[in-house]
Amino acid sequence: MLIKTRLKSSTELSSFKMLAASPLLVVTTTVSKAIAMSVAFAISLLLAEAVVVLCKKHIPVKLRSLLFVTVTAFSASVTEILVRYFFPTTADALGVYLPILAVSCIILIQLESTKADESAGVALFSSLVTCVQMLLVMVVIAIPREVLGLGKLFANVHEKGGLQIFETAPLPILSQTSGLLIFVGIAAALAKLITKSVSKRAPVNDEM
Amino acid sequence: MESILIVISALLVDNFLLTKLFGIESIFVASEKPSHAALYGGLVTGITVVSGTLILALYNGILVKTEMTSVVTFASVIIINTLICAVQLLSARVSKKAHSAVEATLPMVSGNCVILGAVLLCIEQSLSFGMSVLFLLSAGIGFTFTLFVFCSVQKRLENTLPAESFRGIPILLVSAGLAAMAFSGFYGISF
Repeated sequence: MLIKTRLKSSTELSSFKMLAASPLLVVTTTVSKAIAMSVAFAISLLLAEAVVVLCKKHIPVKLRSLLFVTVTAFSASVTEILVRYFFPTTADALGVYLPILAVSCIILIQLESTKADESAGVALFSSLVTCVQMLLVMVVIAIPREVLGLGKLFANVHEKGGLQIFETAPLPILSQTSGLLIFVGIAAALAKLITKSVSKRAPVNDEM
Repeated sequence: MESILIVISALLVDNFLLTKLFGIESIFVASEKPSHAALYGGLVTGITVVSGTLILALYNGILVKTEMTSVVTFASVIIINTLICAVQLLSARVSKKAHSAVEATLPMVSGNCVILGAVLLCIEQSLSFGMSVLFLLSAGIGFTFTLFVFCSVQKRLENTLPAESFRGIPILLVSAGLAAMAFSGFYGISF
């Protein structure tokens, strides 16, 4: 309710999604961690979406929010168990941010947007698009954070501690949360600027 | 001494909102007016302490003994949301005005990472029961304090005229980054 009253346009909604994704973006200090988190996010979202598509028609509207929260918690728990079993070092690297997926606003917003009469294929495709968007956002944020914040690339993957790009990190603040927030803020402003300039050009093309 | 360190750590040094970004979306949703911040922060603090105590009791009493610690996340979310439903029902009995205010705020509380994050950190750090309750309380108070900080930040932002693309959430994120930088100044505190 509070979100609906405060978000005035779709551009605001996309900025809010960026804000809501911030807890997940904390792990983007390295590209490998960003990819690992994106994969965990994708498993959680797709599993939750599959369960919601199956159950949504049979659940009364009043109980749907409760269903979304429970299903998100279930899918995130399954993802956590899988990651801890198959990739324990990755699970340790992601730390508390892996189980936090259970209350991820992005997953809840995506589940909320699934219509009751939507087919399973359409709903899952829409979730898959969100997962790809998330992966792109995470990697795009992780690359400058790792290169400028740590002076390296692929620090967790490479045997010798990553590819050394700079001798000393040129912008170490980027590896901290304060740097992340400033970086995401500038990125959100740029995204807003690009969206506005594209929407301004669109009517001119129509007239032509 | 350990208890003082835990309180200061949860309140300032490792502030949940600005160093871990748990519940960062609340700086946009709940910091518009001090009354919103007080209600939201109070609900988050209360639910964090009560649900955290219940989850820790369940974890130490049943999950550890039956070696089912991997389901702690799912169990935590169920307990948190049950408590949120209970608060909603209780507020309806108290007064209509309180109920409408609480009903508008509670959905955001259920999606707040602070509650789950604080409990999971207590488990991860293997804190004693008493210290855990103190940590949960401090985490909630630290969160509410940061919301009040952002109330004043939002008021100041209203009187400024940033570039159009920066208006709204982008400028709020940049100011959150600057506030996080200020809070990182507390890192040196030790006893």
